[in-house]
Amino acid sequence: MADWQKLVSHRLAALKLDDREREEIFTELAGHLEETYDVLRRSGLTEYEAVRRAVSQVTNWEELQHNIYSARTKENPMNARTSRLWLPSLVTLALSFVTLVLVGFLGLNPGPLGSHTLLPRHAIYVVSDYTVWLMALPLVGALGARLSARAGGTLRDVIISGVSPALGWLTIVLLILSAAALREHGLEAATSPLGPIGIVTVLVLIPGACLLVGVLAYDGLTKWRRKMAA
Amino acid sequence: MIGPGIKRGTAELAILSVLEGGPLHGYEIARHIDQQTRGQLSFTLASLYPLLYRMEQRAWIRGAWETSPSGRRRRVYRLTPPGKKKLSPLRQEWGELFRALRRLTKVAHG
Repeated sequence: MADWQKLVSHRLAALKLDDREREEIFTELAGHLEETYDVLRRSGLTEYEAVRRAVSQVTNWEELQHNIYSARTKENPMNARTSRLWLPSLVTLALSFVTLVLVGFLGLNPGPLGSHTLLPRHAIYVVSDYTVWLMALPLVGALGARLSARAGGTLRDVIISGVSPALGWLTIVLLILSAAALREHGLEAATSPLGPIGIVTVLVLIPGACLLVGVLAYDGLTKWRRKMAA
Repeated sequence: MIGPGIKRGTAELAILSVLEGGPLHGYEIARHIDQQTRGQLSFTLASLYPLLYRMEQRAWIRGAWETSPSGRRRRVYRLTPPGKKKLSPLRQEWGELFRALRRLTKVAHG
């Protein structure tokens, strides 16, 4: 049986799109040829004749290459990678910051909790603010996943788009820790009292897990809806 | 007035119409159109995919990879809300073309 993937990637080798997009197109077209071949074989044609007829769907591979390139690039100034990954990631990142600011703006101050606990008043404020923010993050992650999925993003794009704020926070934390390390006594001030691992856990890992919960919930819900529709 | 893009428009109408019935992958789209038009309108790989990609860029349809029960990975296309909106004017344009051709053939035979 013919190696359809190899055939398509060879014939469309000069397609000037990014690697992942090219691979997707090659896989899709190879799948179409393979399906055509299978149907022809089931109808009783010889292997040679089935291959010949399947391949005869394309009389001019160069023209097909040009038409695919044109369709993928000229219709929309925003390329697929931007709409599937960068834009959803940017929106999710911005929204996570806005949510954090909003939670602070709404004034989730220590309030009466302070009088019922032995923990320092400041710590209660951080926990209260932080907890509300964490509760909002699954929604932010789900929104990023939805934006990416709507644009045709792969599962990888959907996950990265959804958890991108955690990656943003990681970058910021690393920058702050690096800057602090360069200053005398700065590192101690920047990392106290949690330490670098604690800061990464609180600002990156836990929010990242909350965002991932939202992404997985969205993905699960989408799959369930498709299953029900089918 | 029938626009110059009528030829491509009819192909787009065919794809949007079959996707209105539910999500399909490329091969199924071509097969459904072939069956429903009794072979009068058929797509080859070369004519189908550039059009699907163009329509996807316009956000009329959306493709997503799915794995079939047999384990084969396929890109399944679905109609989007903008695609649903596009169907009505395309149907109108197509109907207009048919009426115009009918009038023309009546005049020619009359």
